[in-house]
Amino acid sequence: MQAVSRAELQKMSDEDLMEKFQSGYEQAFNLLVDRYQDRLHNFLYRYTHNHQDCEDLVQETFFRVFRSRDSYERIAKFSTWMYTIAINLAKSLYKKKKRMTKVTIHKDPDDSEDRPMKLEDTDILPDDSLHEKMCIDELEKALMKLSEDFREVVVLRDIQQLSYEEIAEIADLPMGTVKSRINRGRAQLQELLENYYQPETISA
Amino acid sequence: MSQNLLPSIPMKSTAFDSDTVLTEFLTDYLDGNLSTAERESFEEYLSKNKDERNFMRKALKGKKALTRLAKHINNKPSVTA
Repeated sequence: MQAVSRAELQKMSDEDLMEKFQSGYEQAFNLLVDRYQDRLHNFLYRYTHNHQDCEDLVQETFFRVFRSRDSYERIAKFSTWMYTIAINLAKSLYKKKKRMTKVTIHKDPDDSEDRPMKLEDTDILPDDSLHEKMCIDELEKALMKLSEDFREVVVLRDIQQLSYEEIAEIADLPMGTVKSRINRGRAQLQELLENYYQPETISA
Repeated sequence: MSQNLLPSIPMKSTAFDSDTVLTEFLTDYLDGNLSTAERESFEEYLSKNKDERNFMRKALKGKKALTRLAKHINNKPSVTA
């Protein structure tokens, strides 16, 4: 593994840091924590209105990022991926509080809201699923061709099924821009898919 | 409308790019959140505007494709759960 200085790491994008972390640089993870812990706390406070809950959720979010580092794919921005984990944890905590039960949020593996986002499918599927797998592959390729600005919002809306308000918060954009980008992202994705399936021109 | 925040893409521009009310209508239409009267009125608008109708069709199909992808992703067991 080639050595990378802290100064070099500090210049890297979040996504590059995440890749470094995936390849074994724990210092890259520490830098991501430095970059995001305050922002994440402020973000979560709007959901919880409780600083102690925020502290716990921030800690748990980074724990999930640490533990699930191999499931992160650059299909999504790092911040989008991390905020999605945080939102799911906050929702999960809210549900648990509503049920008035005292359980720690990381001890409920059966809770579907508690599972980290998984964007990559590397599993081998049975033969009868081959066609579906091919379609999904085309879809994923098309999604990766969208500009990051469009991809971020359509992933949050149509894959993660977040509300427009949540997306505006995460992407730090006005609601109108969020909606406009989602519609454009969807239309552009469809255009890409239609281009995939257009028959090739055969020249004589 | 914060049009300057929209990234440039090689797609034909439509009235949805500049009209926030139309964008709201389109969003609610795709989400199935329009009342019958609103839906009929929006569909009448679409029937008279080819580019916007074409854009809506693509956005609707794109949304359906993404829903399929979401189903695929969410049906896969997570190795880290």
